[in-house]
Amino acid sequence: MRLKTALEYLFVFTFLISAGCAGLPPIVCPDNSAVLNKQSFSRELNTLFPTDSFQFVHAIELTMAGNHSAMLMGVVNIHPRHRAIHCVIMTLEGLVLFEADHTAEAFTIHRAIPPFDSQALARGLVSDIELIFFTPRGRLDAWGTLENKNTILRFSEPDGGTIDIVISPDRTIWTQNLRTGSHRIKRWVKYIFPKATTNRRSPVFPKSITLTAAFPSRYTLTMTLTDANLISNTQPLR
Amino acid sequence: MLIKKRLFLGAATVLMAAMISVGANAASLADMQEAAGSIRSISADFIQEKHMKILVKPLVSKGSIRFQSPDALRFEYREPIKNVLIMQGKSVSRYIQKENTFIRDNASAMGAMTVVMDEISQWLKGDFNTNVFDATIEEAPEPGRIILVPKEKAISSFIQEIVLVLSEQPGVFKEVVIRENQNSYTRLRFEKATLNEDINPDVFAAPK
Repeated sequence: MRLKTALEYLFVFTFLISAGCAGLPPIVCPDNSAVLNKQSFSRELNTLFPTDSFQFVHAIELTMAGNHSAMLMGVVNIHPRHRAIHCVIMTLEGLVLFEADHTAEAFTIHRAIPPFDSQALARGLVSDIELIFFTPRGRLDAWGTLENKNTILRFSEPDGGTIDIVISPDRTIWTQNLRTGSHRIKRWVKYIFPKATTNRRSPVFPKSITLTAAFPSRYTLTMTLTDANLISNTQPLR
Repeated sequence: MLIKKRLFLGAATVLMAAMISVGANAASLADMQEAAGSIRSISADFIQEKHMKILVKPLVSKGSIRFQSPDALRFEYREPIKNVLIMQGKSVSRYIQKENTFIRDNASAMGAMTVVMDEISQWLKGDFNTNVFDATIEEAPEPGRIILVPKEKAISSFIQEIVLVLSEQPGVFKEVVIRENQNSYTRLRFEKATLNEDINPDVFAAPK
């Protein structure tokens, strides 16, 4: 099992390195039709990024280079309209290791027990959560399909980087690739949705999310959803 | 090492609290120490509730605990994340279920659990006034409770106090409350507790 994990880890980084060297994947069938207008994009993105405030509880497996891993529990409150986050990481026994909130105005760490007491790590963590749950800040530059028939939406980020959102034909696997201005891949996020059901009245969330960080630190967060609740008070908690 | 020790103190205190068996009608810590000596084994189910100001609803975990004197313990979470913590003598291991198989958690910090074993063994003997905690008894409300307050500021900065609520059933705690601060605490409620029944030794082996 360890070997399997190590091989998966190796595969992901091989993919990231090769993807990083290859530049941006070409959009083979650019789709500039009027059908896929701004409203359509919003609908697509709302599948991945909720517009309401939600609380998610995940089982998180943190894997670092050298096959070091730790299993933790994570609680994240997202307030998309304010791009605000309140997150808690705790041991499986419920001991809080890290608690912070992030709004447009401030980043406040309420509790940080080693190794979560590093300011850089804390900011990186919040930035990863923002990437996972919020729509890209940049503008949509291109869209269409890739050679493998996946749909792609390409965003230009304010810092010169790009974000590709790629959707599998059956819409159960979504990926998000964050690249630097030199097309070096920095973060790779894979979302796995449950198979489509007839009941689509309630929102559907990814049953698992895997974030792989390529640099400056290499690590993988595998998040398995255990609970999701609408937050009735839409103001970020302070 | 101290940092790692602190990190796992929360887990350890839960374990310690769950393992302790004392007489509910004991009037002093000395009485409890004496009563603890008659306990050979404990089996119980537990429900753990994590309460925090930011939570829409408490996080609930369920599981079971098995203890065999003098130093074998199985602390098992069945939901939401299946994992088992096993102590045998000075050795402590955690196993996490992935794809229907239990995988040993190789987190390096798990080694720190062995550091707190000495502490745990003192609690098992009913010795609550250890190097880490000061213990006091409150008889009201009946049947009483034990309050444990960390001696070191380094520990009290993340665990304010632990309250062990005694039950009417001699030898069993009704619940344990671990208070981290005003906004955060964990409550463990024990159910279906049985004492001094034989436990299959395989229970304390690595799960399959």
